[in-house]
Amino acid sequence: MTSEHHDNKLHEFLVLSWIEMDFIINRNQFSASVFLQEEMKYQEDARYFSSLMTYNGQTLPVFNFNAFLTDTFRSGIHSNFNIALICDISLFSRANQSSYRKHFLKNNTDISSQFLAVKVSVHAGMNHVPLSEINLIPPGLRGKLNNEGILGCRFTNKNNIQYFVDIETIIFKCIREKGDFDDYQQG
Amino acid sequence: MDNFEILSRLASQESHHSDDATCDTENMLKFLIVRVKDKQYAFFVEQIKEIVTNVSLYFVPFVPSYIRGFINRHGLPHTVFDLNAIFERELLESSTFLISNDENDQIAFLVSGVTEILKIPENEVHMLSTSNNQEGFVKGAITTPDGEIFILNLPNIIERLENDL
Repeated sequence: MTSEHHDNKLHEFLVLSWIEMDFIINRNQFSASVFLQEEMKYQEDARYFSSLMTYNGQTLPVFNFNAFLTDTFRSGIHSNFNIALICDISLFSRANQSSYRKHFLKNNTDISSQFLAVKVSVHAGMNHVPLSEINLIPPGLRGKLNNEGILGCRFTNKNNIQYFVDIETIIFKCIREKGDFDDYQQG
Repeated sequence: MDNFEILSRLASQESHHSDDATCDTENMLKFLIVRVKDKQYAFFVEQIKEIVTNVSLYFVPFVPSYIRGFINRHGLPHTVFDLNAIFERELLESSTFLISNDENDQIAFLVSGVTEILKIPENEVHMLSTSNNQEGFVKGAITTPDGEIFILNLPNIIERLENDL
């Protein structure tokens, strides 16, 4: 293995710092971030889409990424203060845009057709990461983990692992498979 | 740059990784004997690249329980198979890992410890025929003064993961 073949291109990622592990998210997957101070209740029984927030006068469904990471990675969070990443729906795949419209807008005209919010811990920062430092998932697990929204990983100097995650895949997998929407559409 | 483009670049850089592991052929067969709890198993020595201890094991979600996580070897993630979890359905408490020489994947095996390296004449190695061992985890056996030791069938062990995912 020689470093000269590596892609030294830097790319900007949001790094979420959790206990024992970190997560990195492609900066291009969200368009803004704001402090998440007030959330309105949406559907109490839903695990990941239980609240709404207001952004630029629009009502956005909030995907609770903290809850997803806690459930999935058995890891803990450093702080209960949160920020919301604002994702532009038009950047999602056509299939996911269609899912979004079907699940969120069909029965609720108040919800934004433009943006969705992702709730993450405030222990986060933007970093330029060399792509050469990010590894693909080992082949035996790659297909499975990529399908779940885990695209790669990186080992840091702090003897820590950073999982490179795709928030679009994770959000829409939860929408389709976790049953949150069966609950609130009836509500 | 979207995630598809990032993955393409990562795949491209990975294709340049090379592994110069060589394999000697001898009249005597060499086996690495390992302990998994109270049992011993044999690996062909050329199947194992490295033995490491006391490295961090990182949790991986969405996998069967016998996949204990990733370890970091030379900056690359290696999938850790817990042999005791596969054979006895009980998780092994250990920090000794065998790094596989598999060129197609980055794999490690969790074992209790390494006992020795044995040289055995080829005619004293009892291999199971393919027909009665198509899906088994044992490829054959060697006889030692301490008794019979099973030779593990690594391709079948690895293939189990493919079937379970």
